[in-house]
Amino acid sequence: MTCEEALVLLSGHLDGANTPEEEARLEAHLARCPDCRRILDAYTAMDQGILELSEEPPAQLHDRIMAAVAAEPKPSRRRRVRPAVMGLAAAAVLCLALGLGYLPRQTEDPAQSAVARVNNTLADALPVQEEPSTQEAAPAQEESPEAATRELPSSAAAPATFSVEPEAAAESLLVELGDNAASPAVETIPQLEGQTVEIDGTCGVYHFTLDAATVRQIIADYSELYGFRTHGDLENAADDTPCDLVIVCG
Amino acid sequence: MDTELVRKAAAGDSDAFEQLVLSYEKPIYNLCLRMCGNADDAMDLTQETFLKAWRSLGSFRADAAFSTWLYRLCSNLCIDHLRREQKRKVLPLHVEDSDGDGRPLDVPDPAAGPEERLSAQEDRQRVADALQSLEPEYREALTLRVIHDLSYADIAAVLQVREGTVKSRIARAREKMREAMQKLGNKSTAPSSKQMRHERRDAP
Repeated sequence: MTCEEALVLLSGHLDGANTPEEEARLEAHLARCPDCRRILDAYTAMDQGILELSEEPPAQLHDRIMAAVAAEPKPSRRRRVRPAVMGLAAAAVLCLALGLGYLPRQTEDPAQSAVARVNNTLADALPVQEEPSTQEAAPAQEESPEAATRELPSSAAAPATFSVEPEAAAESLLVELGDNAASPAVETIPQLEGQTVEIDGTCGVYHFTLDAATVRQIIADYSELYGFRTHGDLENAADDTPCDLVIVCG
Repeated sequence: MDTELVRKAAAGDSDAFEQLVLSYEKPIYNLCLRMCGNADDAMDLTQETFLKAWRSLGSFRADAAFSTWLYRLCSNLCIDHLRREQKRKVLPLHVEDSDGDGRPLDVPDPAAGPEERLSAQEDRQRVADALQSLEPEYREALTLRVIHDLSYADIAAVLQVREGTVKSRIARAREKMREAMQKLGNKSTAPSSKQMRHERRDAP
């Protein structure tokens, strides 16, 4: 064993995370490596030092927290409004057309790449489900009464330059659009006003095409619950830049 | 038991929520304290964590541990806070990329001896400073492991990374911290890891 490998096992040793076989190998290494023995001593002392950094919170903290909580409205389960296409959740890929929004046309490169990515993500996340084909997205568009009833805004027809995916399978995510006065960015997309879509843990991959401002807002609202991975420079994208939001639920 | 308290709290029972606050205010405060490095910000972030929890209890799913969920809220708030700080100070915040966790560790510096006994107040400060000097990802993983005594699996759930990543991240954090301790202990005459590696390669 090299000292490099030993470092990981030293750490695992302190954390009680090594297998018996790893412990035996580490022991053999330590028996003939004084350097690693010294490092183990250093790590042990360091861990003790870190543990001793633990402090009691300031006395006033508890009351401060409870006062802030008392000033808040009581928590409530938010209403669930299932979009019309929700019945298709059994289909492995679900492309939701939000309100009078739209599905990207499959003839467009951005749409194709988006669907391809959904498929890839799905293959990783939901191996038990039937592998979807890109064609399955099309019926969702047809069966959604609101879908494709409005011309695409010209900016939305531009290539989808940015995409955002949650890092982990979402357990529950409520995408509220339009009826939240506190998020002015959302109000700039009139066709989405008043729409609420809850993804409530039904297995599936949800694909939204939204503007960058809305996606930034969604990330801001949900970053404490889910890690998001972004591709492209979402921070600096113009508010109306079309943007893919892919949510993996499963 | 958390489950019952969480159920009551989610239904609006603030007494039940207060019990949860009592159980978790110390670990949450300590995570915030180690992440942001000062008591004032730690108090603010602790309060913010519990407020977020109270607001979003409705969306909490009982299939996850409440503690994991709460630590994740806290972790994300701390990282957001540090990111805002970073914008102000223009300091490097993140490890370059997640793949970095998979890189082999540098060969340790054998000339750097075991640390002298850590006992006095100045040693405590040195430990705190060394921990604070780590990138937040390393600091957080090591704090959750050593102070909060979370398993690798729990830490993986909080940070939403793979367990193998947690393992290598903590190992790397310990080694980085040991190096930082040496620097803070004025052991700068000891050769760096890179120098040692170089010398080894050149050795006959």
